[in-house]
Amino acid sequence: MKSFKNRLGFITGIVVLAVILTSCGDSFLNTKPKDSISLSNFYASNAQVEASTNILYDAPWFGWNNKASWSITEMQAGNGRSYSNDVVSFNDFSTQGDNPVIGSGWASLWTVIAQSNALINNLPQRVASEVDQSTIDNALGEAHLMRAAAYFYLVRTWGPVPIITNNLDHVEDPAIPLNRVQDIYQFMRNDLQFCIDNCVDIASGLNTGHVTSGSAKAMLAKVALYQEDYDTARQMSEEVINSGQFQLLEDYSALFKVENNNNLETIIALQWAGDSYGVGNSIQASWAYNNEITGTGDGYSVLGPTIDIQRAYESGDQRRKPSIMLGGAHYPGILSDDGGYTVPEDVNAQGTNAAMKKYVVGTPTDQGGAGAAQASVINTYILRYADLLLIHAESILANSQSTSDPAALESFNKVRERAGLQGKTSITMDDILHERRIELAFESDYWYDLGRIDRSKAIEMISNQERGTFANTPREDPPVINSIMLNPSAEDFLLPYPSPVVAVNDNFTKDPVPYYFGDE
Amino acid sequence: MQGFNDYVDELTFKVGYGLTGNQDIGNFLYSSNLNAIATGLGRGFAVGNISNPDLQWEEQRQLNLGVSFSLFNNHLSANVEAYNKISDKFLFQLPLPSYLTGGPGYQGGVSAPFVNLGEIQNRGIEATLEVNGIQKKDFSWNSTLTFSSFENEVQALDSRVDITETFSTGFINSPITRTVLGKPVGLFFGYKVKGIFNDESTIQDQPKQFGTEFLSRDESTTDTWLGDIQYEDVNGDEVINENDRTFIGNPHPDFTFGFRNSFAYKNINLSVFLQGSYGNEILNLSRILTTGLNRPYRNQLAEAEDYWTPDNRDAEFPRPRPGDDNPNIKVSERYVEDGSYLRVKNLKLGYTLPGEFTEQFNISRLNIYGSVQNLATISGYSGYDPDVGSFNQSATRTGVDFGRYPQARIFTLGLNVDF
Repeated sequence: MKSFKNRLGFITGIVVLAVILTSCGDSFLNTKPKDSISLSNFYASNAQVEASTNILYDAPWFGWNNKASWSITEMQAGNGRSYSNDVVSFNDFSTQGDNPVIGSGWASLWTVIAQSNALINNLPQRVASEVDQSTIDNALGEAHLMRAAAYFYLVRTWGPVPIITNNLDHVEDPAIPLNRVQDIYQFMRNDLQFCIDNCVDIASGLNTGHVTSGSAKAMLAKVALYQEDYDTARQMSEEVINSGQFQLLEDYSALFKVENNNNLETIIALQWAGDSYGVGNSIQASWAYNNEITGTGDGYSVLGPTIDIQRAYESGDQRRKPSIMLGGAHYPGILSDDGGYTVPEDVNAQGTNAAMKKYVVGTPTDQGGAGAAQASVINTYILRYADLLLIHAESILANSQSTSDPAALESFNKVRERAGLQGKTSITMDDILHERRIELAFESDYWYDLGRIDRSKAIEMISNQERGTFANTPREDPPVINSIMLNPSAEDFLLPYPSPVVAVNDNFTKDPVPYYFGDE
Repeated sequence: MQGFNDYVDELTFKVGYGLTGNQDIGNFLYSSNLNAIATGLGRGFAVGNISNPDLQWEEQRQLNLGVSFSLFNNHLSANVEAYNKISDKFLFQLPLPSYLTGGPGYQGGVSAPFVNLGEIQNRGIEATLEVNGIQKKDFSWNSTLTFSSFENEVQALDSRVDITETFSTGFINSPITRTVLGKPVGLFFGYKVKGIFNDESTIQDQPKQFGTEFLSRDESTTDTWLGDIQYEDVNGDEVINENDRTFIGNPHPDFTFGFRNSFAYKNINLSVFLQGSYGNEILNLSRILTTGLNRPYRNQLAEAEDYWTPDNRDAEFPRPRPGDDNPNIKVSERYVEDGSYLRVKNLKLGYTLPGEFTEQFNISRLNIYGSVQNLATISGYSGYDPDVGSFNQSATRTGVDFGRYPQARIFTLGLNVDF
């Protein structure tokens, strides 16, 4: 028995040793965390894959939406002005690569690209077999569109940037070159075409707010317009118009009410959660004239509508009141429980004798109980149907001096007439630029219009803008203006790259290189 | 040997070699984890990090050579050790550029992977000298001096990532340190400064700065003119731009020391502890805020009054210009300061009540003392406290001061009672 016991001990020893040896493999050392989700246990059901794109509509865009979008576009375009020292350099084209606002705006757009790339590269490999192919395709299509949307802002703001399709490819050698602007446009078109081919036509139910193939067509029309590819712009915009998927709201002011989020005019919009800083729309915090309007302690009034844009509104244009606040105006939707908000007669944001209204939506009560400090829930439009109608009109005008084409006039006049203005019988590029400026004011667009037209014409237009301030009270009639008129240089239409990026990658000081599209 | 033993009480030579592992980083970094973030469409999931399945221990190999001795009836004892520590495969989070990682994690940014980056060598010497100077009935004095000096050098980098550390706040967005092969970790990185533009007749001949023209204030509010900082054209290409950043300072000290002296005279005891550091530099980023002259309504240090005007051309500070990104306040030599200091770290004075008095209360010894910590600091450093350490405990942010909370001066009154 003794020898048997000994043998048993020996055998047990071998078994234990064998267990230890085999356990030291991957499964033992590389355990999966039980209290969090890792990529290896995600994409398991249709519902999870549908929700996997949610992230692309919110937090990654925060740093762009927060300050960068409007200081880069509205301030440089001459629509807004500010004394606020983090953005003051955007008044006069003196922004440096050290500017913290362009740093966060840049990082934000790359966050969108990083998360889109993560989805595009991980989903097909890791998705569970029971998930429907159509669900997978739709999610991939959304990610491609969001990647294109981020690149569209990058290329229009900075010009050449690197094209990145899988962030993991560059971890070991991150000093990648810049790619050429024309290649970035081609890359966006490919992404949008992917969305057109793979996304559903109409979003509904839980998918409301997600982009569709129609969204991609509309965006492709806009991208093509920037390339002066008028045929594609016209074809795509007409497909969108004829689909009937989108339509203008009757009332322009309804566009900027929380209860109308994801209305029929919305083509692509960011979808904010009102929970907290970082996931909500913080624009109201910066723009609202005071904290009475927001009810959440913010409302810093750091942007004012320039004298120039105040003058640009035609008389009777119903878009002015929903866009900017003038003294004495009454807004029933703000402080609605108290009968509305009346703008003080001496209103004066940033020396403009006016204040911002668009994207200012009032207290959490006004927002239907949602929203918090620096986090309102009003969607940020990336593209809406009025924009598309103006793209359509311009695609017909193409390179001619003017057009009376009925299709162009119909699209153009729909936008004008909604604003309570007379339709036109013939339109020029100047008409379209004016209409785009007013219709899309403070929606991060006009700067890019100025950037895509003939450079000397854009410089001349800017040099005629009144970017100054009204002299301090007492107010006189006519008011005294401390005039500021600026002459940007041709280089001012692109921003410097953020300093930390240039410091680690000297390719950012070199010429861009062609992008290899492979054999796709 | 008789004579030798008369003087030498103890003599020890020491040789040591050790290999230790270090895994002092977060968990699950070999896999990609998802962060749940609220969105307007319901809960969203963001990929939180770039994984590194090949992540390994950091290995620290250390060789110590030491000698300790005690002389003259233990009146003098010393311990001297030289060490050579190699941190191989050292763990480091790659500072990937923002076009790969995006922004902060709570906004969906993807944090860079931890990697085994390379090899750092720390060579140094540590010495302790103890003197039991006087041991009389009524008076005693002893003294301890510690001295430490080391050199730090990056010996291998298994990555083509440029280890450039960035500082990003609402006010600053700039590279601050750089770590390269053959040099110490985390050297300050920025612009060199020539001075303040003061000569209208030659200004047009100087290299243009950051894409601006030389135009007077009447012609332009945003271009460069008299009163602005002139930076050095480090690469000699006749323009000042991002490529002119260079190494502007070293956060590592030549040596640090501590010096403790204890005295006792009859019932009174006194001890003084001094500590200090010599030869290190500090990147004082808070000065960008406190002397920047770039924001209306922001309080500034009194010394910032000495700014350039046409009537004050020999000024310490450039002319005020608005904007957090105006070129006068770029991270430069202007914010690098000598961080050497000598500090009276602790002073303690005590009195022991006479035994015959306290024994009535069954107390064998009662000592009353008062002590002061951080009594005084001698330093040329303009910030709160030259003992800044590493910002956020990051090795590549050593000596970076952004208003680190200063060490308090602490007064203590106490009783030591032995029964």
